[in-house]
Amino acid sequence: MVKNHLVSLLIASSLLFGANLIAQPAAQERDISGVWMNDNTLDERLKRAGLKRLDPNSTNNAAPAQAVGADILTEQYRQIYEAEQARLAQLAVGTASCGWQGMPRVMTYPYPFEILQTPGRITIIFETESQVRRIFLDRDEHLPFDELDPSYLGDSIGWWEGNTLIIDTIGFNTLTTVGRGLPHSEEMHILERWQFTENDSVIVEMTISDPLAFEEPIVQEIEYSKRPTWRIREYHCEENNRDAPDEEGQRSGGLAN
Amino acid sequence: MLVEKTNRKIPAMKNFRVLLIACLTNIFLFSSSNAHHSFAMFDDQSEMWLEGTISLFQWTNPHTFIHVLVEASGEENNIIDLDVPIEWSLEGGSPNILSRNGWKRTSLEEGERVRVLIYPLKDGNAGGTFLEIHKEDGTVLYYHG
Repeated sequence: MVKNHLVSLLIASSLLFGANLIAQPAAQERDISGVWMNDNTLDERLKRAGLKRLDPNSTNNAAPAQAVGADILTEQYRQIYEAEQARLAQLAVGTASCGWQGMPRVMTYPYPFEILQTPGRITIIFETESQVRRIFLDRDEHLPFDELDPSYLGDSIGWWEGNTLIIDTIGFNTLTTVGRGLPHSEEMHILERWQFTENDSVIVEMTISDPLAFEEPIVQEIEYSKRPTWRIREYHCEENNRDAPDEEGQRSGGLAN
Repeated sequence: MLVEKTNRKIPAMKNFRVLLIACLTNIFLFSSSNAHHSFAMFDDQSEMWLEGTISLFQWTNPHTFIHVLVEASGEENNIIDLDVPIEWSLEGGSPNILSRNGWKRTSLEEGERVRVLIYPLKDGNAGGTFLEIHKEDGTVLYYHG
């Protein structure tokens, strides 16, 4: 009721003073709607370099030996990490199960996402498993603990600081990793600074902290650019996962016969 | 028993190695991991050619699969006829990645003859990941392996 009265008052005053106070969007909010893609996936890097594939003998291709940040795990989470690595080592190379990546890994999976802007809200629809992040610009506090069900993508609130969109996310489950097997707790907290540039690209500086799992925050930067001609396709891993491990830990459907 | 192949139905591509020689710059600082799983089960030190007929094309996630009834196989300059055809299973990128590299669901048809450059499975089974599909009409489809 109070809100309705306030709206009436604002409409009345806008009529009175001839100013369109209600319909005016926040001046700093820019149009970021559209399809965006991580610029540094393997496929994107190859296309940019005009190459069909990597040189298998180049020393530049090597992946890090362990998870980025594994050296900053607390003792308890180092044990969790090592136990999971031991379990995975029992499976044949190339086997993989399906599942949501959640935050933050969905942000680096090699597929694009689409941003929708509606009043008070930014919605990010990921091609990967059709995961959706809802960023609440019209809320300045996270959900209270009893409403904050642990989830893959967390509870996100956001606000603009000039050309930078800040997103603060908490409320995670522990069914995902930060990436490369690095575990986290339900206390993980992700702060993103989406720094938009004039040529439709954005650098996302992501600070991932976790008082239970990490001795210090992990900071990573990811660069995306807008792809006006792209459309979001469907990607569901369980459609035909022939690489799922069977009872003996082998690829269940890799071969023709 | 293996015999020398003398009557190849599709012209050999001689210069595919030029592509490899053209690689690589310093931009590849990060993991070259594929999205869904490691491709470490494939031997990227043993390029191999397969010649035969497509028996299955699965345009599906998380990976596409191409089955080829292989009649001849081997290294680029030493492709050998097989006595009995063997069906190979070749795994590649998702439709999402391939479609952004010019592929379509209709790019391959069952029954069409192809020459395929692959990295074979390390364990010796009849499987691998495809790198290039050379169609009879001269079209070449690529995946980065």
